Amino acid sequence: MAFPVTVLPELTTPVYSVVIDSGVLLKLTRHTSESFPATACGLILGLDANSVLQVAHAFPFPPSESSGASGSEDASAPRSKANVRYQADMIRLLKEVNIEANPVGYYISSYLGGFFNQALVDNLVSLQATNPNSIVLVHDVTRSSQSSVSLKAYRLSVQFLATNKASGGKFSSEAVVKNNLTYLDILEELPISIKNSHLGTALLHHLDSPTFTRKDDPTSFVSTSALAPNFDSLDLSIDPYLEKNVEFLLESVDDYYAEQGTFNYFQRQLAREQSKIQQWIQKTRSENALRERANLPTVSEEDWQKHFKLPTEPSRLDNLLISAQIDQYCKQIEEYSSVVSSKMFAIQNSLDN
Amino acid sequence: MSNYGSFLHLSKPASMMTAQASSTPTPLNIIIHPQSLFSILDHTLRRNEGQERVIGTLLGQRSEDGTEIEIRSAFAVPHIESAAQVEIDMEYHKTMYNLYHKANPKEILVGWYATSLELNAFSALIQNFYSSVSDGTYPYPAVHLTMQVDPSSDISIKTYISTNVGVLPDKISESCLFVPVPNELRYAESERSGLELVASAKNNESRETSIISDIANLEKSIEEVISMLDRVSAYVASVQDGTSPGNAAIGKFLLSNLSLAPKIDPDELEKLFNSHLQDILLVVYLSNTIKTQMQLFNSLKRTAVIS
Repeated sequence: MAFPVTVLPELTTPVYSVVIDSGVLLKLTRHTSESFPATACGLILGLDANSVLQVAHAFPFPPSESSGASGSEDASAPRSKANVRYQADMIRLLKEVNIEANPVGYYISSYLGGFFNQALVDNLVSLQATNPNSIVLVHDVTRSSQSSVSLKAYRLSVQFLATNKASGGKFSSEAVVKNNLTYLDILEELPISIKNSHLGTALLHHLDSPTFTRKDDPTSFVSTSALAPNFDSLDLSIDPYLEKNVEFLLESVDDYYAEQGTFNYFQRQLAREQSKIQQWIQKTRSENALRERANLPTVSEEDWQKHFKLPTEPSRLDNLLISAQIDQYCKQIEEYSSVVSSKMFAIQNSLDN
Repeated sequence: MSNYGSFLHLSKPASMMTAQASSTPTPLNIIIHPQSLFSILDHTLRRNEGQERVIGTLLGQRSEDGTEIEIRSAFAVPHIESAAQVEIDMEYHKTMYNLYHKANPKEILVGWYATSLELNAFSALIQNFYSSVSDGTYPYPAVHLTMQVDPSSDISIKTYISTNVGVLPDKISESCLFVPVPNELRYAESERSGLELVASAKNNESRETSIISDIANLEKSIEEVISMLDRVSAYVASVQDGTSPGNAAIGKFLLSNLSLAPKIDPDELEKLFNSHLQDILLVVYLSNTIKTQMQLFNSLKRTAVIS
């Protein structure tokens, strides 16, 4: 994967938090909310210094041109050939206007938190190979439309990368256990803060000032300022969001059981093969005894490998991903219901008065 | 006769085909997305030493009849300016525009921006380039946006379209009159929360803010509503005491707003609320069970492998 690398992996200091420029946040949210419900994808550029990752710029990738592109194709966009070229061109041009064009990760949009898939893992593995501080910014479009912006920064945890390396991408059970990897540790979350430049702050104050807001109706007392507070979060309807969430949760549980089924199948096969091998070893042992008496060459007991092939263990990665996804849905439901139940109880109290 | 001063009649930006000249309408309103403004500011911060102003291209959409232009994003174009001449990297503009267009096929070239309020001959030249036939905004007029980013004074944003005011044919490319067009700031619903988050940092010393959870957001909104109610009730109390003069318009406005609370039978309402609450609690219980079971599976798996 040829990203224009300006930083050697061994010399990077780990980052513990992410600072995003305000312009980047606005660009990101606009791109993801506009391409809803398709997954939107783009690259983020910035600088990692002083254990803080500063994201200074971002640009979207062109939507994939193949018709009938599934969501997973878009999500693997950072690695498709056309997009690598696009990215190289873009970075070259941005360098000319003094923008520090150092890729530090990519961003994706997610629908109700469903972003734990193979594409995510592949992208992050390749990105973190060049720059261990790469992150993925996940913007949840459905939640942001209701309340505050839901943006999270993740990167693959150390245990995950170690397991990946140790098992060569196959994720066998022993590699997983040895590296202490549970589904909760696949991604680690980094805290995000938004920073405005001085000029940006000046602009925000200007937008809020009375000279700028055009009151179309001079008799109205409602402020039409761009920055007037947003009270949508006090709305009471819950059904569509919660319903969708539960639907996805049940689907993931079904996927989980399907995956469990394949693993059980493998285990049964393994058991059968092993019992067959044991029988064969017993047989050769008795044959060897006979042959020794007849002074014929003995067959070694280790030769069972020539006759039997053990089934290969399926990768545990899917299992881990699905479990993490289920966990994510459950967390979302809990967070959401905490807000809604507080609102409900507040209204109930006011009704009783 | 004319107590109003002198007038100058200006034709719309002339297009070569007279038949179509009347059908290309002039923009009457320009809508700016806040994101483009931030991009422009960002570019200003990164300008080279000694550059007074920076210029770049504006991209956006035009409405069906051409009367409304929406500016959605902007990118910078390197340029060199001296007292005698100005040089813009047109190749850069073309390549960058193509790249941007691939990512956002709906956005087209609508104009250019500059970060100083002055309009001089160079502006006219650049405006000409952007309105040109080959890869300008022909036959629509190009929009020019100037933004004053001098830290000592207020940030002001002005938008113009140009029209020819040529006197001499050989100097026609250098002379044009910039006609101001009203502009307004608009954003989509989905961007509103983003903008609000960014704006919450404007009063902080460090210009930083972190992403707050839903519950904290709810608390903030409720606190704001409570403070608003406090202010209104303090005002009403003071009017009733006679300490401050009452305003009939405000009083009527308040009355009409307060009467918006719906009248429902309290028992009915209580039943609705209870069932609603029960739905939520059921779902929470379900999700908690699933989560616990996953964790249990996980630990069982690990012990099974080890043994």
